[in-house]
Amino acid sequence: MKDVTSSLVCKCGCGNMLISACECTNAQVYRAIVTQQIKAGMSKEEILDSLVKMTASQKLKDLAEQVEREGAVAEAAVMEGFRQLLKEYGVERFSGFGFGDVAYFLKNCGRGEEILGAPKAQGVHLIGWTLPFILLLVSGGVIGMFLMRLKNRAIPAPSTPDSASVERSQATSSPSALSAYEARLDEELKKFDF
Amino acid sequence: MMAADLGRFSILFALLCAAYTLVAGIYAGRAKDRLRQEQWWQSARRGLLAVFLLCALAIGVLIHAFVTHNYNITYVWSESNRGMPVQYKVSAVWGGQDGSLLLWVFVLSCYGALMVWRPQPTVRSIMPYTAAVMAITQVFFLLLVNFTANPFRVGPPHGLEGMKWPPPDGRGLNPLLQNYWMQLHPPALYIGYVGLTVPFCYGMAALMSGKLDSDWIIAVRRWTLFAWTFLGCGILLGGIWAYETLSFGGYWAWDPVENASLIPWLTGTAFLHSVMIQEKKGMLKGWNMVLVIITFALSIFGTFLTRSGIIQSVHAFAQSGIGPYFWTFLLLMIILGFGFLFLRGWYVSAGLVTLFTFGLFIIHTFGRLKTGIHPPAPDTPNAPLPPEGAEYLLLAVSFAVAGAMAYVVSSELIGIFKNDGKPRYNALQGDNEFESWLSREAAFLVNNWLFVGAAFAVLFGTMLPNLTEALWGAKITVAGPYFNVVMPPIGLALLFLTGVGPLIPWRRASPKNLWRNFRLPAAVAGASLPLLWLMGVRQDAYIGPIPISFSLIVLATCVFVTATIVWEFYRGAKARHALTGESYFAALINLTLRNRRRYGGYIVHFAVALFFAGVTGSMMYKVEVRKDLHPGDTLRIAGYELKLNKVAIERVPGWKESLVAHVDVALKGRKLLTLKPRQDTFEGFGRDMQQTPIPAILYTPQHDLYLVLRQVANPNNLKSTSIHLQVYLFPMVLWVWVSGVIFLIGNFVCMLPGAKELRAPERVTVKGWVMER
Repeated sequence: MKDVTSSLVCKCGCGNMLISACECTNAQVYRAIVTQQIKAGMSKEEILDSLVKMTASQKLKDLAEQVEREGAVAEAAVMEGFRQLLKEYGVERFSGFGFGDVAYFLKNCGRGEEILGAPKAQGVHLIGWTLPFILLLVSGGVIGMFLMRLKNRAIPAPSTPDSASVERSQATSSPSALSAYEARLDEELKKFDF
Repeated sequence: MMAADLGRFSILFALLCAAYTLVAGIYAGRAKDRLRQEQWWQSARRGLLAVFLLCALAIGVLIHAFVTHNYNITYVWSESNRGMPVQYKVSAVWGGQDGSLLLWVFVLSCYGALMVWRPQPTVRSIMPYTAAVMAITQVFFLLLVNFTANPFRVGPPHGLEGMKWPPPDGRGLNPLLQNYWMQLHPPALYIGYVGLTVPFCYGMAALMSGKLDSDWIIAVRRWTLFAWTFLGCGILLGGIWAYETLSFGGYWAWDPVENASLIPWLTGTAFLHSVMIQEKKGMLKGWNMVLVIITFALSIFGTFLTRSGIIQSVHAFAQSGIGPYFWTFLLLMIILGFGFLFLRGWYVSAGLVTLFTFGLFIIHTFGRLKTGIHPPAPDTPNAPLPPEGAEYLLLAVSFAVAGAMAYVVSSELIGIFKNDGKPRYNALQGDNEFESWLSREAAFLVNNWLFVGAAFAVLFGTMLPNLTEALWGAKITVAGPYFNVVMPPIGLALLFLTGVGPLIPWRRASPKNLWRNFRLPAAVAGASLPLLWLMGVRQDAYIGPIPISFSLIVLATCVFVTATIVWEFYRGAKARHALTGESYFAALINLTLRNRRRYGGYIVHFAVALFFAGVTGSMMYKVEVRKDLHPGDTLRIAGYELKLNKVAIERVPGWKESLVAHVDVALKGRKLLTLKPRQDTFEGFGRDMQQTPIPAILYTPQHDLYLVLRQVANPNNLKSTSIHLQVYLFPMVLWVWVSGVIFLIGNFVCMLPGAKELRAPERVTVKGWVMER
């Protein structure tokens, strides 16, 4: 349940909160629908697909327009139409919500793919999913080539011993070397400060 | 004189002073005669000090107006009422757009004054230009505050012209902003955002004066660190506010406005690291300039996103019609940056800035395609809109320049890779030397690559709905489910680098170095794996068909990073102890104080590891339970027993009314405390957020118990009503906030001045003028 509702966003104007987190009527209706779909044995993918199709369907648009046009006068027809619509998408029972809730849902449920928290990784949306990584790889390649050029140009130099190696050699050295070591340590550490 | 007049005059005079400073600064910068330069510089300096005093006066007047209920001022009426506690009256100053812009100007004026108060002698020669660039920014914001979003406007707002004025009481503040964290979050964020202007000023001044060595970088390091620290803390404070106020069961939602604050922080982080490589090795001078310019631009762009309404956000209360002004200013500043980079012959850097501008241009254009020209301005309906022609002219110019620079960059790259390895221009200026892939230099470059890549990924994801709709007509949403897939791999790579980078020596590391430095941290991290598994960290993700435990990888990496840091402190303290005979504790303190940047940096890195651990625990292992409860009913979660004691009403006359559920919390039969989740209803008119659930939280180091009162079934009969209670258990979330404190401490250590810096600068007298050497 949580897994499914965390993949859906609320379009009630709350700023794309996840359906699992939002408390508006819209989110409550979604949660009720998802609960029934899970009971009907549908998988996460099936539920998400069905909700995308349902919210993009002409039937849902017609119902929303009917509410807009006729208001509460159309209550019985809209409620029946909405139940029929839900049945097509695996929801056998829908209760606990009145006409006001359904009208709110029809207006604010979002349409089609926009109800998903992220576009499905297929078709043109693959660009959206992969472009950050592609650009990272390409820019990494450019930087790598730039560094190769610098590396080939550089004069090899002996490695600089780090503080640990100095410390280790210090551990075995005589006390007379202490002051020299301290000066060296200070010098090394100063490089990190100013 | 009325308070409103005093406020109006002070911001008007501040504008005049800033404009004067701009002229005086440029004149001082161009003067050949040293005495004349000094006189004009001192004059520009006093100009910035005057701007500060006048802005301080203005914000003081506004605070006074809020506290004394001066509802003659429209903004005070709009954002407060009499019943609000005094602390919220003060924070209401930045509760709306006009006041928040005044706060921005005030913070900017503070930076301006501090910047010129006692500049470092090494950058003394570029200070006139630094003051001039600061003055340009001040002029822009003061123009906005004076003529578009004036918080001292008097009289009824647009649409309510007939109402009695001044009214007896105000409208009240947005309920969501009536939280103590909101007293800290916006100022901290502004100190961060606005502070990013300072490195930009220095960078531009270096370009304008032609003094392009590393002095400006050294001078600017601490300013950047300061602004970056506050921006980071501001973001975290916003997270605490969301956690304690919004009741959505988290603290970060990848909201576009949150993202807008994160993006400049990421590029700022890249800059703070690449500064070191320029200081130490003289590398990447041009790149650093690019980072300074884009970080500043992104801070302005973030504000533009917040105000323009081109994206859908929970921060919609900040939207207005001033977005286009920000966009215009942003383009002007980028063109200024590009122009000077070009003039100095830094063509590749200029090209990178242009490509960046081109990206913003695309985003902006598609944003406008989606939202239409000039979005509505709910809070400032009177705000005049800028001429469209001027804006489009600027867009056209940026487009043309982008095309030209694409040519320059491509020819440069062709020069590098095909033309016998010799670039046509001087690529990424600097004394570039690179010996090995296993070196500190390489680690820094990877760091910059990843941070800028992360910034791009966040920016791209934020604007993806606009781009997709404009290009393919498809309406999509890009929220947590997208960012939670794209960002973790980049974050994990950065976390790993946090542990590895500091222990790799400069120039070249040998396998022996690596073995010596990393064997112990790697062993500790390896040993932590079974321990974490025993603690319940399990498989939580898939890579294709392969099940993995991402949280296990992240937490083990956190252990690795922590082990490297502890190991470094231990080795340093041991060496000092052996040398000086100090106790280990004293050695540790002295070691840190004598090498503030290095060890302060380690403390910050530790904060990062702790932050990652806290986020991983709290987001991937949170538990949620919902239940209807009557008085006397209990709910059990993770050993806790929650018993609804009663539901009551609490009133603060003139301010708010709260429905409060008293929930007794017991652990293993022992009562710990009573938590009181509530639903607040605020008084005041014109606000539609009537019932705001405010969670009650039990903070513990292991986990937070987080209670939200979702519904009271029958508010008219509280004795027998049922409530709908939502309970979360967030593991380790406290460590996210603790990491913020450690982050602050680490940065404070980094910023401490050394003995050399505390010495007063040497002064000389020339023809009666005292000058610092």
